[in-house]
Amino acid sequence: MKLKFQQSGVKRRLAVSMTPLIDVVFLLMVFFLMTINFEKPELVLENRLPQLGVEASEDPSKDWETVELHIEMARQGGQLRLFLEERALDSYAELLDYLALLPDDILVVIDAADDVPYKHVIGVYNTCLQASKQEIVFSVAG
Amino acid sequence: MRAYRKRPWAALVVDMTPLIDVIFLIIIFFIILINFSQVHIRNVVLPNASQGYQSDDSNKQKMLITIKSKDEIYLEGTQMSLADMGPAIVRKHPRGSDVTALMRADEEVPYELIKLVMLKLATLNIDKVQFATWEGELTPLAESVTANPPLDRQVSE
Repeated sequence: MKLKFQQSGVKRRLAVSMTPLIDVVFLLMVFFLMTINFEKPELVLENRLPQLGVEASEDPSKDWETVELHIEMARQGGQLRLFLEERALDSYAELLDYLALLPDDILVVIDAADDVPYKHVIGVYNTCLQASKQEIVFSVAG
Repeated sequence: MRAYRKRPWAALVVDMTPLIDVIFLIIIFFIILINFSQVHIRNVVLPNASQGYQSDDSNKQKMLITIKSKDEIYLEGTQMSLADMGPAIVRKHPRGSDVTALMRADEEVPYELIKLVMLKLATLNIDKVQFATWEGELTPLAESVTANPPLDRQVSE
């Protein structure tokens, strides 16, 4: 006769408690949601507006040195173009090349037509800064 | 006769109560935190620029002007018309010259509107202006084929 010995070890069911896991997961989620910045970083371009009623010639010694360059922005046949003196330019690269030939202390006046989108005015201003022009003003005439 | 020992057996039960508690707590937290009106105001497509720099705000008194369109001009988060802007600026910043105006304008806004705001600032002796931009390639001039309608026509539409 064969005797069967049953193993009498106590078997325990593995019970996984989900509560602390969820607590920690949510805690981490809240932490990352609070620290992550979804916005694109904003940069600034600075400009000084000329004060109204104050003439540019407060320093008379500079008067004779001031050379102005008018950049006009307007549409010609539906196409937005830049006009400098007698030339018409179609791109910022052309403007940058043109500005590179001029002295840095030249006064640049950006004179955009009313219907020109703001992004292109900023485009021209950005190009002037890229060309190391220090005196840039916006025309508010018209 | 074989005697079986009855073992206590518990089915795996996921208790949903703490989970729901935590989820609702998070929802309430974010609802309180987020001011949806400010989200709408901040949602502006800025123009791209390559020469922009990170502004040092530590010792500057800033005045935020958000321009989304002719009818959506905000001064420090408060919507107002261009005409009301002057008195509001004077009320908030009586000594205009100390303040820097940070302009967050939509890239498609016509220059006419920007010009009017700049003119208003200049009359109030605010000469320091910053234009908010995003770092990126400039939009080529050729991509602007359709003209912005004049402001008076935008209002009538």
